Amino acid sequence: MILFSYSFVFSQEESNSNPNGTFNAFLTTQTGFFIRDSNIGAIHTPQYDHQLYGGQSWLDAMYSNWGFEFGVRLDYFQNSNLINPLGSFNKQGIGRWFIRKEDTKFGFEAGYIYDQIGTGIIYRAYEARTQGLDNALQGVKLNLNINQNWHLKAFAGKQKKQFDVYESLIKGIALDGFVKASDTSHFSMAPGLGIVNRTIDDASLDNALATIATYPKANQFLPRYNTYACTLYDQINAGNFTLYLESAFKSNDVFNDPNALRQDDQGNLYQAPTLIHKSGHVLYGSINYVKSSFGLTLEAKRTQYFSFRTRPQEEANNGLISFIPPMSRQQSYNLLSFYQPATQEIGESAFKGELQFNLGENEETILHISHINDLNQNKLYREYYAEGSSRKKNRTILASVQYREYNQQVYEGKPNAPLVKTFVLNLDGTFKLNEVRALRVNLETMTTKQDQGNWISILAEYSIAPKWIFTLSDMYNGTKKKNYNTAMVTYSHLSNRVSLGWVRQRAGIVCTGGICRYEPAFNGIKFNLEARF
Amino acid sequence: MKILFFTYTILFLCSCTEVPPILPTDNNSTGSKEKNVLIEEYTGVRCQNCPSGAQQLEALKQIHGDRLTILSIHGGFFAQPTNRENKYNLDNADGVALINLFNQPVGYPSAMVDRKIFDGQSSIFSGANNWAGYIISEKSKEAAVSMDLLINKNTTTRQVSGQCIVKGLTDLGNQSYYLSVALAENNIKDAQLTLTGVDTNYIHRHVMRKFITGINGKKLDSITLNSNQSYSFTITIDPLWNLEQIYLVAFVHKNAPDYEVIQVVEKN
Repeated sequence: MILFSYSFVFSQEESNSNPNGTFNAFLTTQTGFFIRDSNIGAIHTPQYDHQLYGGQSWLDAMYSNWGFEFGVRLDYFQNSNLINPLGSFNKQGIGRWFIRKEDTKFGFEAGYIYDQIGTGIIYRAYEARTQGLDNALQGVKLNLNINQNWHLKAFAGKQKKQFDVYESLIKGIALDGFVKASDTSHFSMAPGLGIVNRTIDDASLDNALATIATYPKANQFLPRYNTYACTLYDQINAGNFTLYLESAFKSNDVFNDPNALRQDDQGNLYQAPTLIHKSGHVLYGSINYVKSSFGLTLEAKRTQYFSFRTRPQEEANNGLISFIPPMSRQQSYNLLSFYQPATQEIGESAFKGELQFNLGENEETILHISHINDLNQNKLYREYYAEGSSRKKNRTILASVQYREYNQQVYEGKPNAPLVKTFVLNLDGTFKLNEVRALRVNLETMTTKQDQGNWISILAEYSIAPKWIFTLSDMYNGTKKKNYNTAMVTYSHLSNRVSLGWVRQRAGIVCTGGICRYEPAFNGIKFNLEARF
Repeated sequence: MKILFFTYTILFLCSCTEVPPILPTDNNSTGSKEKNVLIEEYTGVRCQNCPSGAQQLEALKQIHGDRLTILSIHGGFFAQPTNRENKYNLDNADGVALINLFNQPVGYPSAMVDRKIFDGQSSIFSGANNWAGYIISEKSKEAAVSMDLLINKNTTTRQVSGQCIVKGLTDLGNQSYYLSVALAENNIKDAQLTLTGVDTNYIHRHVMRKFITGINGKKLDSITLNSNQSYSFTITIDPLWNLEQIYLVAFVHKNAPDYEVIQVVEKN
């Protein structure tokens, strides 16, 4: 590692507007007081059975001076079900620290580093707190600005795992550029190239070898310690068009196929999570056209055997090195987001398109389609969505309709579950009562003959700007005749926000950016705090 | 500086050749101090992926024979409520107590191998792809104690009596050790959710029925070289349990905060 043994000497001539430096801190607290309710499945976890309280907090603090940035984050998990939705995690300590320096030519960062290459297909180190996901790289990153338009970065380290690290070593290098014919040209492009290498640690590889040795001869193979992933990408801007293309490849790698077919002693095939050894690829492209009030976005993606993790034994959201872009619309309403597809790293062929245009000065229309199959062209997910909104001085009205098909066998592992077909109607209105008071009302209905049947969701939100928001909501399941109601008060002051409320929440799969997590049923009191200093 | 970056890139691209590993063979006998391995699998009749975990355990049992003892703990989220087709409740108070003690794993099937957190792991539980390696790692150790287990089944009184003898193979100092004895049943035919639906003819193996000593075990006296300690017990079997398929599992372990199992033995 010649590169990393190089010593940097930075000039200290940069001026700093504040001679004492700048200090910032941000505190986030999420707490729950758990009250058993067997009617909605809020039972059989330690929080309901005997702990009664659970939560997590993060305190981010950052100090800038002398051209450096120093940061530390304290993480507190107290009877938390964020890491394991069915369990309880108790640990607290330093969750992240870093030192960063950037000048016109060189830069470095050491500590726990968040970063990505391209869209993240071969490498993305990021934090998604609501998903309990934090895969920062504990290591060193170096930046070299070759000139104003070309930038090179290299990094090496180990992936974070709560308060520990995985032993596998991850190294990478990426070159990003920007090309424009002239200052007046309407054509420019931002090409890039990245390579990432993961060396599996001895213990993990020995463990994988022991597992492979238990397979029938036909399923056995010799894995490699090193896997290489590379990506080529380019964003081309031509007038109103933006085109993005990325192709990523991964060399032979040992990873877990959760639905692989294995042979038993009698030669019968059965489905079981199995370590396999394959190379993989992701091809991804998007085209975007925007002109005044008209916008069109088309995206397509093909994924084959692109599970890239710190060690092959990791499952679900653990040990992810790659991030494959999701191909469904990110919905925020309760029932529109009820069934969301998780990104399939073993095989997926997907397309989505969205058209946005204005019928009048204040009337906006959105049409959307998502289409996801597996590589055998089996239907995984379909979404057809139309939205119209009208904005006037004292009110905003939004109406939308969605038809969706969702393969529950694949996304939730439910054997023999039929394809879930849902039809959702959504109405949302915000009415300004005076200069500071406003009322928002939302009504959604979901009709389906499969899974849990029909649902209705109602929400009323009364706000007194800029400090208070009072929210009442209910989700009602017509088949099971169950209510999930919430009453919440939120108070904001400057950059601080506190909310307290009674929450009765269904169990379900919650997805953000294609990464999904099982969210257990909740019944009790929730208190959340966000404070910035 | 640019030269260093390019050098790094070239080194990076050239480092593609490597000496391949070899698949392990089962030759890790430790002679007279053979250590056996306990695997406690968490499962449930509503866990559709658990049958594949059970198949993996059977494959491991075939490889390691008597040196691997399996206990299937039915409990937690995937054990209750049972399927409509289930005739029995395979979960029990001791299973619930174990879940309270060790927490519920993130996903099923998961297992504890010798109740140990292995290097690079933050949880005592691991998924099926880890078990084989952890078993080999544990099996290659020298045992600190040897164990003998005697069992006597009385079909008239439906009583199982037994005696467990723990012999020290080394001096373990002042560390406290505990003896746990569990009763398990093999080959119970009852419904199980599988990837193709509910299988009413599913055969459940290694089902933990009861911890005779309680889940915390019975505290042993200090273990020294050649010391012998014995524990005798008698238990009446539930009318629904099949006496023929009942077997005993005894193991020596530490207690909180480190629950590591140092030896295990089973007897039918």
